[in-house]
Amino acid sequence: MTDRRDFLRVAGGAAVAVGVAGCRGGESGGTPWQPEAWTKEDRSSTAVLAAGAYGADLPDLLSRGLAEFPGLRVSGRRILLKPNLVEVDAAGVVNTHPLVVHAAIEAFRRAGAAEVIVGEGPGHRRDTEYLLLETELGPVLRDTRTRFVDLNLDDVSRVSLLGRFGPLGSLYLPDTLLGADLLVSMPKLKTHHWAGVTLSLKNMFGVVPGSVYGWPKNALHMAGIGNSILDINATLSRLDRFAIVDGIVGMDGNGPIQGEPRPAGVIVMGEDHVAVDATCCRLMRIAPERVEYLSRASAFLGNLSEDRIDQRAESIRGRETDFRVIEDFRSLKVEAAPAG
Amino acid sequence: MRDSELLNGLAHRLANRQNADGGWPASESGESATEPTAWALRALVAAGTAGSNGGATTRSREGAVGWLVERQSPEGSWPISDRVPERGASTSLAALALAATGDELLLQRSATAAEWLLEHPGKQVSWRTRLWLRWNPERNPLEMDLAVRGWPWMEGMWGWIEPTSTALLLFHRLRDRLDGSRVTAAIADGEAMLLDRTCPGGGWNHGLGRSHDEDLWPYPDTTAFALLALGPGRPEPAIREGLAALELMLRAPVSRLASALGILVADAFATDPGVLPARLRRQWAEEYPEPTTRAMAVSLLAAAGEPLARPSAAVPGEARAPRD
Repeated sequence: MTDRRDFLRVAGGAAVAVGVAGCRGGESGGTPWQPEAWTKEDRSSTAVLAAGAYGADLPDLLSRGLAEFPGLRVSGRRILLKPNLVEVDAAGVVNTHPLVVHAAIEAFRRAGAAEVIVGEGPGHRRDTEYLLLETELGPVLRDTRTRFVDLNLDDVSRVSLLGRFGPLGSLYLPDTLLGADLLVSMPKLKTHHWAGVTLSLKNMFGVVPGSVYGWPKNALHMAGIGNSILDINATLSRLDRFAIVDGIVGMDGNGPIQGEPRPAGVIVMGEDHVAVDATCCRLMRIAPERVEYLSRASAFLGNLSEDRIDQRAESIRGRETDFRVIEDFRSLKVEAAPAG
Repeated sequence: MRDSELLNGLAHRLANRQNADGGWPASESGESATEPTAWALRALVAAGTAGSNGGATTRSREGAVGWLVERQSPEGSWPISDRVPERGASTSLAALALAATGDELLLQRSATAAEWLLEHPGKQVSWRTRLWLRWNPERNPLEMDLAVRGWPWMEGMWGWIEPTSTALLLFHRLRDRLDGSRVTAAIADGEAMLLDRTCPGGGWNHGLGRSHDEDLWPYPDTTAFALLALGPGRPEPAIREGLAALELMLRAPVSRLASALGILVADAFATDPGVLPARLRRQWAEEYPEPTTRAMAVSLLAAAGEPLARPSAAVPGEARAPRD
């Protein structure tokens, strides 16, 4: 673990030459990442868990979900849960539901985690205390005695990005993130008016510190949302990662904050974030290969093709929900099967 | 002074959070950074003026001044922190804090910082793009006046509400020491930016009132900063609407920072803060969540009754106080 963290820190200085090479490769039409740095697994696994309501025994459900991944190392490790905490959310459809965060805290503790930390750096609201109180996540953290780290305000280290899709080259990232043994992306199942979908990969925008880049995190948008998603996730792929997607009630239409609630009744889990997001897309009746950043990510970060993803727990078939998208993303939708 | 007990408690708590190097971390622990150190110094100066805690706060203030002075660049700006050399919004806050001491040498340092800010406004869309958008307004998805610049979070980026507001507060504070025509033009640009970026129902978020045909909503902290920067006694409807929006947002129990900013706005606009002082005191009796240094400092300013707004332009406006 230490080696991986050191790699990310040292990358800020030592990887300059590599970074320049990557940049040149991108500009000249070559791969905007370093091919030798990635050895994509042949196969990935995702688990779809049926969960009809937030009142279900979610800690037990997530514990059973974690058991589907026997290779996942939790015992004795420091786990950073990164939910999607965006806005005041009276209807409970914008943010990862506090009860799902609570369930994840319990499940990782039962699995023997040395420490479970919750960290987020909201990109809309600077006043995180306001969000914690308004969204009820604050009381959950208080009652479970869970440390919360505002990733917008954490100490930071400069890290050279291992992707060169956008022009950023490097980013400051929070030390709590870089020091975690296992990073768990916990997004909400949502469509997105600029990116098509926002799932475990897009959720990583929240690790970029506002204390450096401001609110909103405009530098990421200026670099291209898709480019930034790829560059950040390429870099974070050097950490051990897992994903738990809250799809009990998702959001469709004009997400990520102004869409409509869409009950989907699922939790999706997995280690390969590309595979997790692809599975989520299929559950939303969206074709993952048509989501541009996801398609590009599948070239080096993870598996997108259904025949390379082992499906555990529930099957996707019969659990799909028709998520609406805005007009600009109509082409992402899988056409409904003809009646009869 | 409004609440000496809260003021003394916060001054003590703030001084205890100070790092050994004289600066403050942004949250409970961590390395010192310019913005929290600036807020802490500003608050401890107010505490000192209000007669709080004598020696301890004096030593804390001296440590903070030393930390800031050591890190100011020759051209006047401050880095975000020792690890982040990039410059931007923290410069206006550091300069405001040094200016609050009233020390002549520190005021000169503040003026140098203000000069640097005058030279470093937000990025601007090219004149060709602006001209094109003037003839094709339907192609401007953000529906904003792209001629105004404001001030950015980070040098070289676009202007946003909070950094523009703190830059304006600094320009007003040091107006007599700055080149008249340049600072007048800068204030006009900053105010035009704030007035252009309101939310449709009143108030401000970070600077996008509408985006892609959707109305966006205001936040308490950004609305308060914009109101403090624009100040009372102005005729623009945006002020009245902003005050009303803030009052509405503060009806619900909110964060300590939002309550404190609400009090500072009420002070500035000579309106009744209503339940906010009592609510703020109650909130500080709670242990959770651990406050940011900024929330602590702004709350101290509110407890001290320290004016933070620009001077009044004319007659104070009217706004109702929030009620529980």
